[in-house]
Amino acid sequence: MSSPSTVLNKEEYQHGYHFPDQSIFKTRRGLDEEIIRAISGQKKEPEWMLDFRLKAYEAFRQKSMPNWGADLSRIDFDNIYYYAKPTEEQKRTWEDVPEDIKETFDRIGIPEAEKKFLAGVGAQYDSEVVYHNLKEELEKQGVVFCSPEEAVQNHPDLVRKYFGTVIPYRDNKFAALNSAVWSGGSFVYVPPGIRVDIPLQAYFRINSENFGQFERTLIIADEGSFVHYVEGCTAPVYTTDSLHSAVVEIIALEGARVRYSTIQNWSGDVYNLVTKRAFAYKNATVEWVDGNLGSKRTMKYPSVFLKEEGAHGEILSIAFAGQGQEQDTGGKVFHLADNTSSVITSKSISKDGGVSSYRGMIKVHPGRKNIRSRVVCDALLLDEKSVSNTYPYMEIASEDVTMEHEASVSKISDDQLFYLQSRGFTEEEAAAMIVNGFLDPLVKELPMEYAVELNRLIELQMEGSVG
Amino acid sequence: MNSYDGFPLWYRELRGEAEKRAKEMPWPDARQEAWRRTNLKRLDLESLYKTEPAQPGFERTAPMNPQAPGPDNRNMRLSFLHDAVLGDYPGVKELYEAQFAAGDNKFIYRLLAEPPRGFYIYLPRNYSAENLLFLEDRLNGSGGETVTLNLVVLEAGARADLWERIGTEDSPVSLHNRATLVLLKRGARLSYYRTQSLPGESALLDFSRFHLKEGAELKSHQAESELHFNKSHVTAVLEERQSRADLRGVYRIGGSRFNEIFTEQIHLAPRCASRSLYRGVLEDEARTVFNGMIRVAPEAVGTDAYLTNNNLLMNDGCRADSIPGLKIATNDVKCSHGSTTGKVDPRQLFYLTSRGFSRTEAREILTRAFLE
Repeated sequence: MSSPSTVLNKEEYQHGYHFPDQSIFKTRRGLDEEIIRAISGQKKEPEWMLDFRLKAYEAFRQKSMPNWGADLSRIDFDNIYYYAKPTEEQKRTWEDVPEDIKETFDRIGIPEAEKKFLAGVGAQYDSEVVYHNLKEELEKQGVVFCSPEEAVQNHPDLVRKYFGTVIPYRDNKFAALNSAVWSGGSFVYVPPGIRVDIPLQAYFRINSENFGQFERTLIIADEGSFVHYVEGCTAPVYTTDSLHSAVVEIIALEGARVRYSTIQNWSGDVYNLVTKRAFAYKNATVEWVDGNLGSKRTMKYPSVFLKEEGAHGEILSIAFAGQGQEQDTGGKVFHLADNTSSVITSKSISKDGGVSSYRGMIKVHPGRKNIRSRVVCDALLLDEKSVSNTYPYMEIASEDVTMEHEASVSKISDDQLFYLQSRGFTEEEAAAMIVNGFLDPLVKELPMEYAVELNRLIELQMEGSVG
Repeated sequence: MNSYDGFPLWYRELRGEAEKRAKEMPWPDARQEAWRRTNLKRLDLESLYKTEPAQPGFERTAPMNPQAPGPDNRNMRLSFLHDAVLGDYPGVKELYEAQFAAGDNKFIYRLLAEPPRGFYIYLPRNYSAENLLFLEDRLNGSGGETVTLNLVVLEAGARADLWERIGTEDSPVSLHNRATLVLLKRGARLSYYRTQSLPGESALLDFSRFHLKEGAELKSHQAESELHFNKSHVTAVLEERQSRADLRGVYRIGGSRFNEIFTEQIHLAPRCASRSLYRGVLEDEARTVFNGMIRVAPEAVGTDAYLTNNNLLMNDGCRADSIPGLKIATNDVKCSHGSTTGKVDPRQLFYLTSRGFSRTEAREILTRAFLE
């Protein structure tokens, strides 16, 4: 157990509790081929997956660190545990989940949420999915919602067909790292024509100190289907830097619609470097709703490749950068086909010297017809120390395009503050209300309990921010 | 041995350092953000630099008119830059040093390392130039690189309209590496127009800068015509409070030409305002890059800044990149930007054709209206 002196700001961080590390199998620090073989062996993987991991490891070694964006120079790849397996095997019911893990989940509020809304829960504690519950009717419909490890064993055809196709292992250094050591995450397959009415949820948690979490999520929505996948993150507080580097791949086949919502609230020492990308085929729609609070450095740009006619992509992004934090987020849309459209909405808030950056890309390939795209970025700066950057890239190589971009940066308006104070709110309450109002267009898009949680988190972040 | 003997010490040191950096630095490449979209291969640097620029062979080591402009000066002064540097005329050091400090590539250092060629314009305190000042760069492209620096200094309260035309007499393929450096002191006002009439095969690199002191006002208008390669940087530094800069530009690019515009609105002081508005029309296989940035320093409270880029694409095959950026380090600001890229509105086109214009005429009318 980490000694109390290594725990920072415990009071300030509401989810910052930490239980003794009871992992059963844990690799040593650092990364080499042996460790990758050990991870693969632990998971009893077939040869092709081991090959994939080894090739990815080679790519990871060759790729250089990004020379742009947030400062990543403090990441020490040799000082990270790449794999830990907390409990012996997959648990089916809530009762079987070990007591301390359950207690952690209780505090975040998973059980209540589950009762009300959840179709299935894949809650990740360390690297393995420890708890899985998929409602029976979904199983009957043929919907698969499981850990990617299970998918490798039980649905090898689907995995081999799609795994690593949206984000190849040599895409970037962190995608390569994830491809080499991935563990846990979710695998979702929705058969043709099936609409999953209730959101599928997975909570991810980091619990071992200095332990990088490399979950891997693959969502395949077959023709005409619909699924809403929700992922949330809260992590205990540590003093040493942790690395979270996930890969999320989404494939929306003809006429399908996939919505992916995340709220991430990593503790202030986590590097959150995530590659998220979706392919949208004919008349398909992909929507990313991405909320980033917490973490030390976040670099995350959910992308949509509109590959066939009629595809539509939407990205909603929220970033909240507090003291010592750098949120480098945004979205990318590539218009590869005719009659495609996209919307990117970004809202960022910087406070106590935090840095939030929007970085985005709209690319229209030559000769594509009837392309529409709109990008709106709004930034709110809560004090004079904080920083907001905007780097929108637009590369338009076609004439039949309607492309609009706007961005604005401002502070909380004195008029609004004055009005709310005159109605009896304190300055702090008023500021929190205005910030919540600023984020409202995004919060509305979230499932209800997430919206509630996000509002609570914003209020928490706003405490002591005024006056 | 040292041919810069008569020059001020600061200049000799700055020039020496620039020369060193110009030699040591590699050509900019895609790893530098500002050059990532620039296809320098278009320039054929090898052959452009085969002919080394002429070594300094100065006729004079003292200014022609030894009396430097100063507080007693009551008239406008136009000098060769050579004399202005030799005589350490007002603003020369400040402008040189600012350009040196902003230097981040080999071209800028070459600009500073070469012997001073160009003009120096000085307007004394409260002097109001009644007529439009016209300055023409008659560049003698020798097939290599030409290097020109023009310096413009307006003392407090001075006013002027300045039209600068970059032209050339003959037309071998040359690279014109140039900058206009402007210093506007307290309350000075300048309307600046820049056009160019270079032959289409030429290449132009421009690193112009405007420095504004308290309450100074700048209106800059820039019209770009087609060049084989054209990369133009315009930087306005709002150094003291309540200064105001208005940067405008139009470009109409066809063929397989390359046009890149970089604008920077740098706010260093409270309550300054800046605007950038750049509009472009692209035809054929033209490729344009617009890269704008608003930077606001922590001290620059009450900043009001706006940045707009609109592109009109006339046909498939052309490509417009638009990258309007913001870097804001304080909260008491009003900063925003907008960018649109699109085609000629079919409804407007229909209306005009229904009134008897041919399609071509109608497109031309709408294009001109867009650039107005």
